[in-house]
Amino acid sequence: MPTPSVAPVGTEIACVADEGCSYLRALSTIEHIAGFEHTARCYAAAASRCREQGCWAARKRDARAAVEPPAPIPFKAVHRMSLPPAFAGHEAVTVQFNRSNLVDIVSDCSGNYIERRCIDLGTLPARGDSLGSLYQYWSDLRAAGACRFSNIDTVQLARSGIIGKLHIVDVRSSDPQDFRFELFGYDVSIGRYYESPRAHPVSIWADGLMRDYNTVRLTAAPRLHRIRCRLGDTSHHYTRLILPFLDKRGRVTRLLVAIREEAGDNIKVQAGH
Amino acid sequence: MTLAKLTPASASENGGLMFKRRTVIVDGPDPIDQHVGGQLRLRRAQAGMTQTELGAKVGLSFQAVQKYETGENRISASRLYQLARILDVPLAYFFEGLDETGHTEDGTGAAELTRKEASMVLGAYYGIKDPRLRSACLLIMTRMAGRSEAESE
Repeated sequence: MPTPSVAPVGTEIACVADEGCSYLRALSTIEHIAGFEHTARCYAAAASRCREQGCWAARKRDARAAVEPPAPIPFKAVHRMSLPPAFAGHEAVTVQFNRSNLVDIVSDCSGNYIERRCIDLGTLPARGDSLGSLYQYWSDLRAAGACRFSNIDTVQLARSGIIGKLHIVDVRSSDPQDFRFELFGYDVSIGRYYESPRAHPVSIWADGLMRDYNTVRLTAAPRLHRIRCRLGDTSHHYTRLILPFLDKRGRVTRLLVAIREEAGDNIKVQAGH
Repeated sequence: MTLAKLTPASASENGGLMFKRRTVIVDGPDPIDQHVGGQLRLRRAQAGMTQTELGAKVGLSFQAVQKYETGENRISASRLYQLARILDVPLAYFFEGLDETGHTEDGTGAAELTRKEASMVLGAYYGIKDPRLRSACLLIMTRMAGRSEAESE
């Protein structure tokens, strides 16, 4: 997928990325939240043109889905893959990864489970991928004392190639039940169509989200998690970066959440396994 | 212009003076500075430049560009000229959308309708696949507007 960017066409903004109007609408929302109404309107106008002529990004996605239907795989196979190597002869196994070994696992009686691992943020910039460049950008903002959402640069976000994988969460309320998504990444499958984390029907999932968001809100420190979960008939595997943004008084009021799907994400699991 | 930067105050507060100087800390950014900053941001996005890249071209940090865009810092005339040249726009571009009293159009009235109309016209225009038909439409529109083709280009 080419790196999303914006390019000048006349006096309007046009999308030259793989994603069409969803991409421009996301940019419009970010500009609106950042307080730049005029720029938001220009992005929205460009998106509406795309809407009038049909969103070709959606058509492309549908065509791709029609060609390659996701093959359901037995749940047991997924589960086996996710387990660490067997402890042969009860020998100690040295974990070679620079990350926390503390894994938080929760499950419910409906068969849903969430395995969540905290990862060291220091490993991110070295990877140089979308999450790494986003974290680097946020670190630069923080170092300059400009970690306010109105200072966000949509061009920089677009360069990171992460627009469709971004959530913006309003955390102005001190009650996590009132947290709500101001933007939900159009390219993120998990948890879509819910305006707030608490609205998700799987309560362990909703509780986990609210807890993680609230931790970042209270500590004002970014967090990186690797998450494997099974919700209903779908298993997910992704890395999540949560970045706090402050208001003028230095309170965390918004979170920028970026998702990177890992191998084995969004796989349908056969019922009964 | 000086009066535009001053806000009325009671005589008792200002030792008999009728106006006090407007400050960013107390009164927030000036709406005109915000508008100019917004135009700068829009044009920068259209050009696909990050704040860091634009800042490097004019010898500023990205924080300075941020402050220009939010209207927290005023852009000097020389800097505005420099930015206009880098972004390839006339100086008047930064003041487009300001009415005679210096207020930004709020987008709720006639201006918004005009924008929607313009968007629909553009959408319909680019919806015509045949380039010959498109140029014929353009010709009709320019003739109806009473402009010459050369002028419209």
